[in-house]
Amino acid sequence: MTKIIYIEREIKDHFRTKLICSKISNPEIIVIDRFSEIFNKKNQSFKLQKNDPALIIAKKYKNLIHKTPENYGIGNKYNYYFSYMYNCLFDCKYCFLQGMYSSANYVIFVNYEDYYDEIKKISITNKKKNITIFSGYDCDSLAFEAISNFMSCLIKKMPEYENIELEIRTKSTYSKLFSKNIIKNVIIAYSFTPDRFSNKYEKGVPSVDKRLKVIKRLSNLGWKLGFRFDPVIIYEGWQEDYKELFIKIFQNIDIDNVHSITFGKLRFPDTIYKKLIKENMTESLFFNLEKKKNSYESSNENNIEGFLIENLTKFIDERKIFFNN
Amino acid sequence: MSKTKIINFLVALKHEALPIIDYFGLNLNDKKHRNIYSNVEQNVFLIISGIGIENAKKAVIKLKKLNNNKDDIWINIGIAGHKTLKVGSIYEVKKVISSNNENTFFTNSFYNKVPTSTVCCVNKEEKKYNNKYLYDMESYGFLEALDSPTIKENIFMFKIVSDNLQFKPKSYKNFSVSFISKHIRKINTILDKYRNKPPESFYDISLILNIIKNKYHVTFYNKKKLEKILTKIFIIKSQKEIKNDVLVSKSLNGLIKKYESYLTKYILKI
Repeated sequence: MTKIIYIEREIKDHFRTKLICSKISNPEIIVIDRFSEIFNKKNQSFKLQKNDPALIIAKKYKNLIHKTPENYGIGNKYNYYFSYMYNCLFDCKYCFLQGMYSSANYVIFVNYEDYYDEIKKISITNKKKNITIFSGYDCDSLAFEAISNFMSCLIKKMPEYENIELEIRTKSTYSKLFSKNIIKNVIIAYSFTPDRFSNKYEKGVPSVDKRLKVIKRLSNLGWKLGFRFDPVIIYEGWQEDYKELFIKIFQNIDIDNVHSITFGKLRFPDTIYKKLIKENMTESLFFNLEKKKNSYESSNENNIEGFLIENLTKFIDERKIFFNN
Repeated sequence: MSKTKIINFLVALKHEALPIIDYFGLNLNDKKHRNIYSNVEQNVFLIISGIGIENAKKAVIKLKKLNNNKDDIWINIGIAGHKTLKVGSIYEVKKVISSNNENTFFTNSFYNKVPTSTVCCVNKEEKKYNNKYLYDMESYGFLEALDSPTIKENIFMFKIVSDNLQFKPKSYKNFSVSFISKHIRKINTILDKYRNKPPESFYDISLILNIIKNKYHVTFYNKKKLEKILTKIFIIKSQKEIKNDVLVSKSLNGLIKKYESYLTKYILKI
């Protein structure tokens, strides 16, 4: 666990800053003015920082919640996303964050109330609309929860916002916050790649079996579940591995609790790909990505869409399956 | 090709340099650079800057003329004053401010099992210590000169408390030699953790490039293209196979196209 903690001067006495620091044994604290002084600077190396990331505790002032791109969603027309943290505790070799930031240090914004207020505002100003809010874009939603407690507070507020669905996307097995009292408009969405791939390319991520154990418990309690196969990775034997993974997941849970399934190709916007490849020149995961108009992505030759639809509909109604690209 | 990064030490004074010179077996570089010591085999260099921000800055610029690789490690070791901290104790500096608050600089953000501190860099000896800072006279110049081209993760700074309100050493010279000697092994252990270059940096594509150059006329554009392609091809093909591909190729364009297509069709193996 991280030991070096940079704290913005303005929030150094914030109760949540103190709470977070108290959960880290003997932290080395460095007071800074703004997190941008040390985060995502030009002359930093994501790859080197990822070996031993520090924690930066900060306050976010604006742009707390964003609209998602138009073709992105799980059924609702209006979609938003937010990140109360930048960067992830896990180290997935295909993660776009390494092309987005030059810094792998974790940034956590402690003004949670401002995020909660924004969600409330969206709910109130869009009363007649059904909205999905996604968490887990710039970070894993639950991997830091034992320290941050962000989601535990948020999900308690969700019953008030009936027109909003909250998706909590994660690869973590942390599930303390999900009790017997299920919250109808919360979807716990688990990201998966097959075990054989995950073991090699998703450092720190709990095994598929460990995650399934948690998912089974949540399914038994009646929580709405999401499954995210995004990205689908093409490698020798991928089709067999994915088939096996689907059987493992969907034969072990109550299908009625599956809210949605999404999948997508391995893909990167141009700018992110170029940054990412600079530090990962020899990573064979990226060798066969094809240049498209504004992106690099897996080839269409493998018919990912056809394969996934064919094999997922053996378990799940097609209306619950979404191809995000 | 060396598998380890170059280490560049900067110290202010000769007596701070002596324990490092001794530990790494450094020799005076040459007559032209009377303040630069090195052990070329071990990739270790040291420059004695003299006291003060400007001297530190000039020294970095001078040493950069010898070593200017993006992945070099830079390290400043020295003594510093503090209001209360125990004399002889070592701190890793993560943040440096100047006494006139011009700018703030940061070093790496790694935890190295050494307590951390912020340094306030001053132009003249400080009489009134603020409890929050260590005080020195070079750190700001050192980091200012390294600010743009050097990756922060390769910048280190260690300061040993030489005096506080209760104690001043009788001889700073003896103090520096004694306490830097005491801590240099520990500092070296820390640096060792960061010295290894990533594996891709020592794939020797130059041999293959030379074979290609002997067979074909290679323009600057194609050389750059080949470097990129070969770095990847080296991951999935042996040197022997690549040599053979070059030998049987009929044109440079054909070879490049063959490899581009090979990479596009490549299926990841786990």
